Amino acid sequence: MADGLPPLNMDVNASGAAVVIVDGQEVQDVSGLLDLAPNIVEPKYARAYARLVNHLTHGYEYNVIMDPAAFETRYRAKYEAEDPDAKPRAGQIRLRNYALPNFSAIQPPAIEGSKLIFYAENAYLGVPYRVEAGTAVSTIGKPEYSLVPSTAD
Amino acid sequence: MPDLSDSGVAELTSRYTALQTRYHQLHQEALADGRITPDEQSELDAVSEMLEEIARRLASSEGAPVGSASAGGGGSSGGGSARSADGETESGGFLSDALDAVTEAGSDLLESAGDMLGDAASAATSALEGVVQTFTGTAQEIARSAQGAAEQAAGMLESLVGNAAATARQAAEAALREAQQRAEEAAQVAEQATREAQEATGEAAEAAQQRAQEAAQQARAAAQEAATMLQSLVSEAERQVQGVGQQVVEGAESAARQAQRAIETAANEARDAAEEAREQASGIESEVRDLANAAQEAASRASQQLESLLAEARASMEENMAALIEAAEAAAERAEQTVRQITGMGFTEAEEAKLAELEAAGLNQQEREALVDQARGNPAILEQATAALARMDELNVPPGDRGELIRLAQANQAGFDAAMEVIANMEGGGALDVSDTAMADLANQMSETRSSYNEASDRLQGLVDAGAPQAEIDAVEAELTTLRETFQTARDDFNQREEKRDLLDALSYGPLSVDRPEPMDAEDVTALIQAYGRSPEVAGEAIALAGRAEDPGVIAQNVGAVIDLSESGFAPPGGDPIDGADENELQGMAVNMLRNGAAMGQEYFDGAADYYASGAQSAEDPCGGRSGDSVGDINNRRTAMMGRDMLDADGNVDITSDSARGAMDHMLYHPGSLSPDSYSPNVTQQMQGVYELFENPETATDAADVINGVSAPGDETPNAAGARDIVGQTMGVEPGDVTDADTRAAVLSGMLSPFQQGDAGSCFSTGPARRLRIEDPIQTMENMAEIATTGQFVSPSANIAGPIPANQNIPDGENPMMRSYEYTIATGVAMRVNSTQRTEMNDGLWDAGGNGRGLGEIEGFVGADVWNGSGEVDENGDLVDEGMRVRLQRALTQQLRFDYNATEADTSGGGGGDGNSSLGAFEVVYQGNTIESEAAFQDAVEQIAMAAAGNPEGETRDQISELIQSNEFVDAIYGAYGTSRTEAPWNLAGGGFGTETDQVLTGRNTTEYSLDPPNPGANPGVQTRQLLDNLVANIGGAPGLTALATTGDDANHEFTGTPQHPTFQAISGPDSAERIQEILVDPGQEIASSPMPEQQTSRVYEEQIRDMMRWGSVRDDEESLEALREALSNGPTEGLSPPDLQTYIDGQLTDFNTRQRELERQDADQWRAGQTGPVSDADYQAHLDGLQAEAEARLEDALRGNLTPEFELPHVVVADSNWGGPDATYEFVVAPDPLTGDLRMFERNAFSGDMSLLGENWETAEWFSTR
Repeated sequence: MADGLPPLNMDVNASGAAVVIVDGQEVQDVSGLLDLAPNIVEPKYARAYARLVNHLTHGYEYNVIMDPAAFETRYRAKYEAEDPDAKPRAGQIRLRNYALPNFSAIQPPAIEGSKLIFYAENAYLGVPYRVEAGTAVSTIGKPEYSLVPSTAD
Repeated sequence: MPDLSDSGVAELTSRYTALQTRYHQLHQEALADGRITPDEQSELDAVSEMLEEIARRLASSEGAPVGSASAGGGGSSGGGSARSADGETESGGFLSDALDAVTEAGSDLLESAGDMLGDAASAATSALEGVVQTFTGTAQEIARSAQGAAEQAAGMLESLVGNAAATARQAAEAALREAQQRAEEAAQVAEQATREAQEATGEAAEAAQQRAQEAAQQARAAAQEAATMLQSLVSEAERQVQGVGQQVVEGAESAARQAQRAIETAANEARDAAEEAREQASGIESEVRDLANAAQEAASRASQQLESLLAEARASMEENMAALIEAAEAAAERAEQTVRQITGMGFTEAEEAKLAELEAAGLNQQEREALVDQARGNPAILEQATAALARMDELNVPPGDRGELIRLAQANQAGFDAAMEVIANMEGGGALDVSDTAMADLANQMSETRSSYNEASDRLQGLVDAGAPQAEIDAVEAELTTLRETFQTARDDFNQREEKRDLLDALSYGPLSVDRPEPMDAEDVTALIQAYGRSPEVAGEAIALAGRAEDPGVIAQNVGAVIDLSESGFAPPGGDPIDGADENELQGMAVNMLRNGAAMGQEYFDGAADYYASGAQSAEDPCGGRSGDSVGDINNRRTAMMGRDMLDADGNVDITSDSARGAMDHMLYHPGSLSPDSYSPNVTQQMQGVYELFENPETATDAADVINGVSAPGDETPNAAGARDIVGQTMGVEPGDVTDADTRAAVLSGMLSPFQQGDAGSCFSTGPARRLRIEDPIQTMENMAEIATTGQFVSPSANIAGPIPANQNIPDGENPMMRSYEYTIATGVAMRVNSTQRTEMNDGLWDAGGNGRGLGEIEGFVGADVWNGSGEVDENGDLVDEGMRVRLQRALTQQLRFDYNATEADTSGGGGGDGNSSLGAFEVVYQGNTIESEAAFQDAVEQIAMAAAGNPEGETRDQISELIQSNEFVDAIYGAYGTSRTEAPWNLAGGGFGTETDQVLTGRNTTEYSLDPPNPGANPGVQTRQLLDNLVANIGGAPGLTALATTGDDANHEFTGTPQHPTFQAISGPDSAERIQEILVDPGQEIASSPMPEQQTSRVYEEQIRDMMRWGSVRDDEESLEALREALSNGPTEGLSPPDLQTYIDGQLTDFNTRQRELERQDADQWRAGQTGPVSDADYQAHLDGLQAEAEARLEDALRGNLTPEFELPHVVVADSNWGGPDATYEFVVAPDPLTGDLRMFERNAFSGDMSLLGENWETAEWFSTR
């Protein structure tokens, strides 16, 4: 076990809310997490913190991108597999509905100063988002998900 | 059809008189019984008098030739014995119906009363027979009993006397007296019972009484005989006893006691028998009383029924009174006319001569007598008519049109003259016979030529394939050339005649008819006729437009100038015609000008003069009109151009600028905009709406603020590249060159495009977005601005996880800005549905409802440690082991997707079909494959679970597999979706998903409410009426647009209710039922029940048969074609109502239908042969029946399609469908079916007014409203 961190388990409670079990105690938001596991904001725990922040914010709707290269490979393979001549239809989810993202912008989770920055893939759309979250209870607010810039391609 | 010949009328009269007699009899009986009050009597007397009056009139018309001068007019010829089907059928029908109703009521009454009385009499007779039998038996028993008692007493005494003492005499005498007394009592009891029975049964029991009295007398006689015998025996005993001793006395006393006991026993038996008789009599009395009550009740029921039937007859009489009076008056009129004909006293000799002259000219009796009557006051009328007829005779005007044209001459001589001049010009090349027979012959000639051509073509191909000598091939090719020329000549001839016939139809029953409820002004009629003479192609459309226009004068007074433009080639003053336009295209442009003018009014034509004087029409269309490009591309250029031209030099909106005005003028007047190839009135209307947004003081500032606040996306914008791409696509510029002005113009371009479902659109997003576009255009403009400037849309709803990237992949020919907005919303809805639909599935997977078994059991298989994970963080700062539970939850969420399939539920049948996206639905997809079965779902879940468990082997694997493949696991899944076990992840219900769109678009939470339940197989007319009532009850009076949705077979749709449409408002409110009746039902019934004019009937018939000749299943089958040619030659010769026309057509299609059945059997045989397995006879028959039903439905739909445009059907617009295109916006309307009068659901093009049946699947679908 890492120094100063209690066991941290993700779950979905009976009412369907994404929660984290911190050493047996259920928390439903990042503030609660920081209260019970304050050391999680140490830079070395950025990956774990990113997972937990992502889970508490959107449950299983996003996956934290830990390996940007693997993500790019997978994304491009899926993109290429889609028929470029297929007629677009409203409500049909395809990567070709969008320009390619700027893959170089995507980085593993990191805590920089007072901010946690990570990238996450919207599991339904398949497109990447940049996420920014605070590292202190006073500044945590609501983690912000924004589109990764796309290319002109 | 009633027989209205002389004998028929006489028979009716006779039946009627007999009925009256029977009625009076029954009535008098009822009155005598006090079952009819004096007031009712008075009312019935009044009815009776009316009946007698009708009878009298009927009788008075018996000798007259029926129908000799009916009110219907047209079509008759040949003098007094001819019939007019119209008037005759109508009056005869009412009268006959009334008589039949009364006759039937009286017959029913008599039969009913007779039955009841018969039953009562049978029952009474049966009961009385029982009484008689019972009494007879009882009385005989009593007599036998009494006689037996006496005989027994006598026997005993006799045996005792020999040994009796003198003292025994007194005892014996006492015993005798008592026996006599008891016998008398028995007789009296029997008599009393008889009397009671008599009282109870009256005369019917008389026989029983008599027999009972006889029995009593017999009893008395027996007693008397016993007494006499006893007396004799006693005397003998005295003599013997006197010689016997004391011991005998004791023996006699003993014997006497025995005799007394015997007598007592006999008396008791007699009493018992009498008592039993009394009880039986009492029972019989009760039975008889019950029977009497039953008879009374039967009589009462008969009375009530009599009264009910009389009331019914009275109501029927009252209901038909107007028609009956009309019929009686018509009969009187006929009699009067007959007398006039017979006596010759009605007309002078000169008038008779004139009548004959008019008859020879083709007028029917009513028309010619009306003219002669009118001429008595104004002789010039006859002169005018005579001259008009002479002119029409010269010009081969069919007799059926002449009466109408004389009335035109009377009302509008200039119009008549113009019409004759137009026709004279048409006949310049020779007489044009446009009679029904001539037109049918010509159509058949074309059909035969086409068949010959097809046969020769096949023959030629055969020769070529067989390598036949060139000479043979050349001969057939020459034959083909001749046939082609023959066909062309016939077609030209037909078209020329049709132009003449179209004008005559317009004048006799169409928009130009003087007999229309609201005829056009004379000068407008004249102007349109004159225009027709110049250009039938342009003026024909002008006449139709004027017929539908609120102000026909706008069309009539401008059509001439429009034809001038067309004829000049749209040349500016002193200039050249526009390049490359042939006559057809120029005429098409002229027609489209008229359409614009019909929509916009005189203002449109005023602007036209300035525009065409400027020469702007000669400039090439920068948008590509007339270039051959697709309409979509052209409209995209138009909206882009206009968006740009709406901005001033600083990039701010200014619609008053010359460029903005010029852009709108370009849309309204430029030949490129008017060309039939790319004419887009819907786009033009949308553009005018956007101009209005910036002109209206209430919206202008906000609208301008939105546009003027737009700037090109900066580099800091997350999806700047996406935004620039969309703007670039919209404005035709490179994304890297996009400017602020481009971005603003792109937003305007999106707003200028009609927001309707494209051929790849989806109603669930289009419906709510279109609704928002109409109700809150500023908000829509802001949403588009967000897309254009940020490349994303942030939903107001917190339930949407993050911004939705703007969709950059737009189908060709669609407006990129508008469609990107719509598709982006659709993506958000899909995200939302993927979340909302998952709730139920998760409840099932984890068995939240305790309905079976859930995935939570896996913890027991793998152990808590594996299930929960350690929760530790490793040296890389990541969670080491999140546990199987988390892996499973995540995998289920991310791998079982809810994806939209636009072609789901693609079934045959009516409806909008795809392109209107009435088919799409969400479905569960795993690894790219749709899950369509329970087994597929279980397999998918098992694969996911095994992967989450690390693909275990052995017992754990078996346990997981057993769980997921168990019936209890499936029970849990079904249980989460309700109790019906129909819906499940592999069988999701369709739906509009409008609630999800509302949430994505506005953040509002809405709920769907069922407002009309599904009712597959219901009578569509009944169902539509119920639907309309429910719509009025649920959304009638709502202040704005209302979200509606349907789910059903090929009818899954999200669209918009229009409770504020004037036609909807007209039927809303507390008296909705009465208004619907008045506005829709009554006019619909009138249309369906009234005969069309003869010419119109013939025209619809011809169109129907010629349409059928073009059907794929017919045009290549010579036998079917021949049957139709025969039918075409046998068109109706009188005006018919739509259903009567349908019956007439059916009657003419006997051979055709026989042939079609043969072809269907051949098809079915082929179908059977093509099946992989054996086909049962039942399946074969079902397939065959399906083919026949399909053919019959097609026939009926075709007729309905030919009838619908013939009427200005009253209709109520209930919804905006989302459907449409550059030249159309479709509404859902409720209107009467002209074929049946029933209310049905139609789709209606708001621009052209064209209507077609929507389909039963829509009427019987479930309808929802969203609030």
